[in-house]
Amino acid sequence: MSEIKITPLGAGQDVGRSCILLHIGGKNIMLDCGMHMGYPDERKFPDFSLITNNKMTLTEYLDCVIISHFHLDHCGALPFMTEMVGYNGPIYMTHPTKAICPILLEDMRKVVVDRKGDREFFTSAQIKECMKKVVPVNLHQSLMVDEELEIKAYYAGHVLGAAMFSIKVGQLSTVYTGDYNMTPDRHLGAAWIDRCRPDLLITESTYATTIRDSKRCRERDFLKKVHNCVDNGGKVLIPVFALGRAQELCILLETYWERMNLKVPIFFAAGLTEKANNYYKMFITWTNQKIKKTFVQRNMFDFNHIKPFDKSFIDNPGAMVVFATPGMLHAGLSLQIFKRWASNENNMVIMPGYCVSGTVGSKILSGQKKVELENGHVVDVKMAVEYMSFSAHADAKGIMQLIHYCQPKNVLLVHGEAAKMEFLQQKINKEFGIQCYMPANGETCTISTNPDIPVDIQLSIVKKEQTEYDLQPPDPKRQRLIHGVLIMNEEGLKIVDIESASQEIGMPRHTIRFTEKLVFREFGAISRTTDKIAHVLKNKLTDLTVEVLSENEISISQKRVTVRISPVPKSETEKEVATTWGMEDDELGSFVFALLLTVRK
Amino acid sequence: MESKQRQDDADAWFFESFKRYTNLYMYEFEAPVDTMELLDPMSLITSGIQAYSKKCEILQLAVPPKLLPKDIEEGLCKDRDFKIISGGYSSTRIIQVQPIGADRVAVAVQSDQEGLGLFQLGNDDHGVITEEKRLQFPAEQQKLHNSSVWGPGVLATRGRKVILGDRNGSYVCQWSLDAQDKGICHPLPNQHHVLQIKKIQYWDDNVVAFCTSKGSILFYDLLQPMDKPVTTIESPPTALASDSAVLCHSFDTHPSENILGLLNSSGKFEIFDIKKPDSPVVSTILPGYDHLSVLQGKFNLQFQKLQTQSPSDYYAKFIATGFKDEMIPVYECTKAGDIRPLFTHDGHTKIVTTAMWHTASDNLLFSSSIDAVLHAWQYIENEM
Repeated sequence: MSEIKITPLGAGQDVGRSCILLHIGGKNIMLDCGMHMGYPDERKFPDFSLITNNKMTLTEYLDCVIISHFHLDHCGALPFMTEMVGYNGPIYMTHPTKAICPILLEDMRKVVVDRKGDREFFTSAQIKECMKKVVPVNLHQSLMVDEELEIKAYYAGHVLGAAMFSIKVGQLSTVYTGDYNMTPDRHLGAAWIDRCRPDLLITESTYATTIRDSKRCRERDFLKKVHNCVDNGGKVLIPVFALGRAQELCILLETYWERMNLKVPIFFAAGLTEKANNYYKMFITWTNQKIKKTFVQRNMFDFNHIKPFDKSFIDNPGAMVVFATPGMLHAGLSLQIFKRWASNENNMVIMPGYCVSGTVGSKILSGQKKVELENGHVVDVKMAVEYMSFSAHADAKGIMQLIHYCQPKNVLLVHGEAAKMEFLQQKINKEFGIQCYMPANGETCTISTNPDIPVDIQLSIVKKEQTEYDLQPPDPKRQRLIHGVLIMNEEGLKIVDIESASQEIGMPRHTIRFTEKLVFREFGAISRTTDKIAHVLKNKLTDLTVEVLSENEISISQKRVTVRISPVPKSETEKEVATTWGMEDDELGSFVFALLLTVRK
Repeated sequence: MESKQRQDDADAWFFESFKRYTNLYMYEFEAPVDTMELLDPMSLITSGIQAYSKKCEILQLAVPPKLLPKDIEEGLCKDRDFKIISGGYSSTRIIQVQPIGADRVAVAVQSDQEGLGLFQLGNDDHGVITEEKRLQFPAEQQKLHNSSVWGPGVLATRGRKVILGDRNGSYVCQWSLDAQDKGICHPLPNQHHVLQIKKIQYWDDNVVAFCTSKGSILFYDLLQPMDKPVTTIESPPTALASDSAVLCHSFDTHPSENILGLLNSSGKFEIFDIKKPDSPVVSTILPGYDHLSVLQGKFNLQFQKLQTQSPSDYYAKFIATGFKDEMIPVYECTKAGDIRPLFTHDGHTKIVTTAMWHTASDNLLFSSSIDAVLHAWQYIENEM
């Protein structure tokens, strides 16, 4: 029960998808349920049959599902799992994630079904049914899934509503980061977590061995390219995902246009993206400080220089900048615009993110000058093709920072480069002295923990020790010692003093005394032997009180050890010397006994 | 309010930079970079003391493909990040690193008693840098050697050889990876015991040059008896601004041009032609030089030495580092003896500790500062 087991469900080491099974304290939790965008076939979804090997249903097996944020590689397979494979248990995600997820899922569904005619895909109705099972969570609010399983969400940055989750069962805890970002950007803050000291931290490590160029320099290059292009009268197309980087780039361009006093029009494709801006307004508390502050005076998402786009503008003469969806140029408005602008070499398309292979976006990024579209139409690509990566992920420095904040006892990296595993393990070990694991997809990683066992302690014992400790001169190195009895019952464990313990159990206190006997050969009366022994003891035990209590009894140190001398029947000379001591005085008792042995000689 | 102003100023600087730099990249490292060396045009090595553990980490980084000249990079999506090829730890603080062989580095560490460390670098399949062995001093030298916080001395490498110049100027010691691990020690003539060796370089396979604390440059041929230098370059002493100032010296050589440059911390810059070592062909003060003191151990003069360099109408382009400020001026020394300021990099917000030229891309430099940020910048020359 003190083990934590992790199994990443995935195919291959690429950035594909996140879906991690966590087994902790007897509970089974699924962390994220992503879809792999690169595979058109069944590999796009995780293989859920691996989870239970068809021995039981997912609902029976899983205690809950947690989704970190709305990117499709983290939530794209959710409707498939809940509606087509079958899961009726709780699904947890933050409020913005719950609001935005269905939009992206629907968007993706339309493309896959319309473009590929894939009838194996989930329907709109199924998306809605799936979202009904979602329980939204607030940040920093502990939520009990059942009596033992507790979860809590932390701010992760990265995209609107992204969260890191802490999962606690009894004494075991795990933190799952999803995707996060340790540096704030123009519209979102940086990830934050308290020093929760989980037994295990699970973190994405796509960029663990990268030192990323600063955001400022990326923005600089982006602005430089855009400015150069519009200066030459060219048109700039920026295909974006509906939510995420688009807002960031809008803010950036608005600031720059304002400062440089540029007049070139900037457009943002209407419809879906307006809705997206509305979501940002709704969830303004999820954005960063600056936006929250200015929101009171002026809505940061109402731009002066950026206006809604209309299809009729495509052929307008002159320079302009257009943000259009979808982000990989695989359909819709951005593809439409691309088709019309591609033949002019003054124009430019800037791809702001990763493009799945097979899409028009990935084709032009690999340098193709002639691109064949769905309908057989071939496009001549004369426009400039640029790639700017703005994705907000934690890099090497960010991961180390997060480990430093929350101080886990173990770290597990997913989506890392296998070849660099040894380097990362050594680094985390040297920096923090903890173990680092990197399981391959499908492989189960078991982490043993040393859970703490909570024990109650009686107040009087603590106070007694405190009094005794204070009586002695202060010494920071002196140990604090508590003497008591550990009682285990249905209520738990507690330490009480001996009297309370015997009362509670209903047993009187027992004492154990040891007696060792020796036979002395001595002439004369008992008292003579007694005096002789007392004399020796007084000489040897100088810092203890040795008293002759009677003619046949000696007490050492207030009767901690007693020596009794008695005659041996039927013998003139033999005297039996019995040394008695209690269990606590074993050392002293044995010492006195050893002394008597030497006296006898 | 103040931070908004700073933000605006920073924005303004970035927008201005469009006209001044072709490329400008900034990398936040976990800790300030102590040493930085180019291994080859595609990778470099850095070391620094890590923030959490206070241990010295050494990293081998792949230069972002976007910074490399066109024929080296491939593909349209050129990456702009440093990728960690391999990394490891050193038991004590690393003072200097030099590449040796194809896949190793020679390392001088603080308070070292035995000699130098030889570290094996990793590659794409094996990500850990490990200390392979120690290059030991020959027995008789071990007795003389005093461990110092500055390390055993200054290093230079050439091919598979490394040479160490003792800080106290008593000897130089050379190891070759092809021979056994024992180094060959060459004691230096007595009069130099009072002078420290500040920097050492290979002039060719057998001749080394080093700079003493007096500011003289001595050339020794390792194949000949080392009782006296084969060439000596002395620069006339400089009058100091104040008695308390300590003069620091640095030099750099440009073997293909047969010249050597000297710089001292009062701003005096000279170029000597090796064939005529008696008097400098250029002797001048750097324009606008106003530094009263320099950072010990960081003061350095560095010529641009491109791998494919065509003959030019100037002696050399160079930078000087080790000052207590955030700027890096780039100069050109013309054949007429004028120092032309080509550019000043002012992107760092804190004191700059190291800077170096890239050997394949023109006008590309790397620099790092105490705020743990490393800059890669490719400047556009000022229009004069």
